[in-house]
Amino acid sequence: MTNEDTDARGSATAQPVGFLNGAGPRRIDATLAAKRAADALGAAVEGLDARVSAIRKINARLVESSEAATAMHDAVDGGLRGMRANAERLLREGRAVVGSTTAVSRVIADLEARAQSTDESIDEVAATIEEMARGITRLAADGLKLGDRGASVTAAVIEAERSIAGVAKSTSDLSSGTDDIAAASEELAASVRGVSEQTKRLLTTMSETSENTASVAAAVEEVAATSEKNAQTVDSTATSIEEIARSAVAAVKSAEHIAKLAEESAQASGQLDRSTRAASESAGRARGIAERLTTAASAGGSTVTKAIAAFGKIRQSMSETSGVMKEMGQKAEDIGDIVATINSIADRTNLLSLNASIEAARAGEHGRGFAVVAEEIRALSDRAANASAEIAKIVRGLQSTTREATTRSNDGSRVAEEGAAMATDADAALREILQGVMTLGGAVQEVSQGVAKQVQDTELLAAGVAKVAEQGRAVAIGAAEQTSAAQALALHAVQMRQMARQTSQAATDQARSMRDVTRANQAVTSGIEHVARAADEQAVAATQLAQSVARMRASIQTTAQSLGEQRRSMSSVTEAASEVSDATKASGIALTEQSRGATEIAKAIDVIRRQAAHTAKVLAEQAAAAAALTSATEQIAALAEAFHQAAGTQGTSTAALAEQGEALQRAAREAARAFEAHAGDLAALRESVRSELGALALDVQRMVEPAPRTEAREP
Amino acid sequence: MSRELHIVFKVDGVSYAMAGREVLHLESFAGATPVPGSKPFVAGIVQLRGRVLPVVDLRSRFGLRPAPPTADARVVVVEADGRTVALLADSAREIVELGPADIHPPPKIIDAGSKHFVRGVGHAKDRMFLILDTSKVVSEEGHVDDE
Repeated sequence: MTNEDTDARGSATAQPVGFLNGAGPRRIDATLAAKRAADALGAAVEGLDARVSAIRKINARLVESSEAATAMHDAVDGGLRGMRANAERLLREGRAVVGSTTAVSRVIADLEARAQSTDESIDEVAATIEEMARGITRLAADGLKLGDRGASVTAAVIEAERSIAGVAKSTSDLSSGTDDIAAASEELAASVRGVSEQTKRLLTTMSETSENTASVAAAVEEVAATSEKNAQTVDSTATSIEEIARSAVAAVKSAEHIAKLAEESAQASGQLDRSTRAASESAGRARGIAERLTTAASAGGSTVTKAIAAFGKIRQSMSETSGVMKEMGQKAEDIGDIVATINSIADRTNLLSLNASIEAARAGEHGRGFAVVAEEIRALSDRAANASAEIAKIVRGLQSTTREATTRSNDGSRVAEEGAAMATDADAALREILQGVMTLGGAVQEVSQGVAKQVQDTELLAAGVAKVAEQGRAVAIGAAEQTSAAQALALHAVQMRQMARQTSQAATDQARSMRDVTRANQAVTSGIEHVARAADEQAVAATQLAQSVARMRASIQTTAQSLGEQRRSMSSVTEAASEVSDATKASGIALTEQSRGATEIAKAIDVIRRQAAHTAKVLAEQAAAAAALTSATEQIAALAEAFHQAAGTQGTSTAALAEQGEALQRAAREAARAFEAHAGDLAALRESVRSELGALALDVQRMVEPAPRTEAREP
Repeated sequence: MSRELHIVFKVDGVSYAMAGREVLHLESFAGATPVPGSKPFVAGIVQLRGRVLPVVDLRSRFGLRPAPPTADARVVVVEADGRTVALLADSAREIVELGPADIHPPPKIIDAGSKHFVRGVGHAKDRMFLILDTSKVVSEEGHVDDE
């Protein structure tokens, strides 16, 4: 037992003794009143005892609840870490896929630039690009939606920040109110000085308890509010995660589509390979043909040269023939002259023979023999004439033949000259052809080389496309993993949501419990005040109250500080949310631009399709597929980036929540410890009050009992 | 009956025969000297064996188309009615012996058309010869002229 207790007892007994030393009936009344007060105090102490055990229970529940909340926070934190790991994996895979698809796309674009001639599938390219444009437009719409969602998150965060600002203002008001209370308490302290030391002690301990309890209550209220906010944030985050899960499913579909496209690309590149090989074979054949052509043209050239020489010989021989014929004609003329001479001789002989016959006939019988001779001569001359006529005829025939032969040989000579000219022309033409064939051979050689290069390029392309296909499969697998990761995230989110609700519930429970504690404390305090009023030692209590008010101010300042911190953290959350929103909007805008670009590409491709409907079919298809792949994977990467940022933001928020929960837990334990420390004091106080009450009762008894004796002696 | 020698000559492709006793001789024709005022059928005059003889162009005399004489052209010198005349034929290269049985009178219509120049048609060696009446041919008058 302390001095204060002794003082308190002394003070408590002094007054009644004073009364006893005074007037008799008044002292008895006072004694009775004191007894009633003592009884009341005893009852109050009993009530205090009951409340102390109730507070102890509540404190135990509080600690238990805060521990459970911390455990839940830990679980939430673990889930978040898993989420972030998943998100990072998502991001990493998305970036890797984007890198490889970009490289492949570059290779394909390079090849496409070189294989402009193979333009058969521009139709399909255009169709694919239109499809891509539609897909990008869809993705852009999704991205913009996501951006809107991010904006709404930002707005919600800003709203939360504003409400925190309101809380801060309220806290500031509370602080100024507390100043007023402090002033009033000082006045009260001045007016109630000299109140009992025992009650002062009791009040001190009770005030401390009350103060601690109030501090805890404030922290718990704060935590409850934060938990509520956190539950809301977790709710919106969970919604975002579910959105991401849905997006991941869409990404899987997209990746599967890409894989399919890559397969188609591989097929198309196979076709291209075959086509290019066929082209190469054709080029080889063309080269062979050109070589044969060159040989044939060379052979033809030599033949033509020979022909020219032969024509020259013909012309010469023709002119020789012509000379011979002229000579022959001359000879025939000579023969004709001779024949004419013979003929005239024959005529003359005929004439002579006829005249001889006439003369013989005139001579009568004497001239008979002469007549016979004359007749024979005439016959001979006729035969000579006939022969000469035959000869003349032959000579004439010969002459006409000679003339004809001369004409013919002249014609032949002319024809030979013409033939020689034509052969010369043919030679020139043949030389030109030879030149052309040689040029063609060079061109074919170049084409063959180009085609060989194209074959190499095509093989490169096929390898690239195979790589694309592989990457496409990897993307599909990655996307599937993303999906599972996202689904795991969704699961985590659901759990987190549940836990957040439980945390919120626990915080609310704690707040309720603390309100009970506060109420109980108030009841205790009122009981103590009752005791104090009874003991008239309110001054000390007032002083304690002033101190308590000061502490409360400190606590309020702490609260204000923590509110400021919360506001700052909320600001950073707002910034992060704004960044997420901006990034999402930027990606949405980029996607829109991409969509517009894709639409323009589609238009351009449409123009090209009209111009070169049958060119670059396979390659362009591949390029389109690769472009689609790149766009899709970029989209996935962008989503993953956004998601990663969102997860980071949520992590920050949850960390803040965890901090507050731990603070709450610490405060709850401190409160429990303080309360237990004060509980011992309370028990001692209770005991001392009881013993004092017993003493007081005895005194009262003593004081009451002698009175009848005095009255009996007086009469 | 004895066969008689006939001189055969041709005018415009037709073979004529004339009795050898009326023919003095045959000569080549190297052209005649035209005589102004003579009959149209008289080609001119020639000098033969020391005599100047008129040349009667038989083509013209028979009313046939004129033709320039060739190297085969002959003049047949005949004597009839005390006149010696050179008859110009296209050719004269053979003789033929005709008996009276080989000679037939000309058909009436030819007789009328030929104005009595043809006194008969001879057949020999499967050939046919128009036999001229020399007196008629050499006379200055003739149906041809009269026409």
